[in-house]
Amino acid sequence: MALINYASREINCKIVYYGTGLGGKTTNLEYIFKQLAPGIRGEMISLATETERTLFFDFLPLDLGSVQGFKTKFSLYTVPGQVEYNASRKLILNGVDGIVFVADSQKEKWEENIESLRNMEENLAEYGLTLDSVPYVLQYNKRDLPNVNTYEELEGVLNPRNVPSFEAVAVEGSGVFATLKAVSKAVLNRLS
Amino acid sequence: MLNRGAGHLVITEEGIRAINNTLGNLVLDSGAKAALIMEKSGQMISAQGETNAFDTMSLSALITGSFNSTKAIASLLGESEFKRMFQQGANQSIFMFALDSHDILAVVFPNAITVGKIKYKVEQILDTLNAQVQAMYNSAPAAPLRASQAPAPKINDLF
Repeated sequence: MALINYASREINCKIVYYGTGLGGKTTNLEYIFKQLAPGIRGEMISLATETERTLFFDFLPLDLGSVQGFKTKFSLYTVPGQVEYNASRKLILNGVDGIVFVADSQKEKWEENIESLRNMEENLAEYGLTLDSVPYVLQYNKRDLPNVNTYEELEGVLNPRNVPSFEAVAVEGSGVFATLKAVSKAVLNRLS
Repeated sequence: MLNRGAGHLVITEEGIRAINNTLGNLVLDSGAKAALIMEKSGQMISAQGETNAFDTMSLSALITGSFNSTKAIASLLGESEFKRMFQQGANQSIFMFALDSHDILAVVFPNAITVGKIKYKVEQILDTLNAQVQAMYNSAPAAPLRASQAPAPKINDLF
């Protein structure tokens, strides 16, 4: 749920990057962190294992400027994608305002993507939410790899609601800001 | 006051003034460095004291994550939740309290002050704080943003 502070004229929103393990969620945040000036973003915090797999979550606060006198602040979170960390994923979805589902485009990840999306819907339901009530966008990551499903194949299975979707190579930054922009816009639209 | 109408959490000037006042008095009375209230999703609602010394947004996200994760531990023990949590550092420590609304009050204090004192001082104001938050839930859940007040998104200008 967005926090609208009339005293300090701020709007705070929580955006969660969800998806399979090793799909590129943390890479999205790392790229955003590297590209934005320190005045716009805070420090990125990663609660990761020794092998740099996300253990609990990554967190990156962004200050995206003013809109009609309200400062807009976004807190970006990632979830741990590994199947066994579902309790953590569920916790991080608490109070979510917008979601980026990062799908791994590789053919061998086809089933994992579907399962992760299903898992996300299950976890949202725990908070009385559905994908019809929470703004979300899709990102098809790793488009530079050779063995990937086509955009149309991914759309057909992962995007029945026809929400905005983006092809990305997060490690190079391609598609990262387009995705962030789309989800931010969808979240702010919901407040109007 | 705070208002969770229409799925948003709204902080009004008069509401936050009362909460800030309560937290400010807590900091003064207890000798704590800072006191913060954060919403259960990790958003900071209020911070009083030496807040410039901390990255309060990150602190709120991490404290909330830490506090919420203990719920899983509690359930393994047959408890619904743990209402208090204490983290002890070499020079400063932090005590966390679950409010009735499941929001979290966190008090950061130097180790020159005993945890018992912090706990005692918080218990003294906890009813007031809970009442202030509860007043929000009992208030008429008006739409947090009326159309005339809604900040029309101009996200294209933000990047």
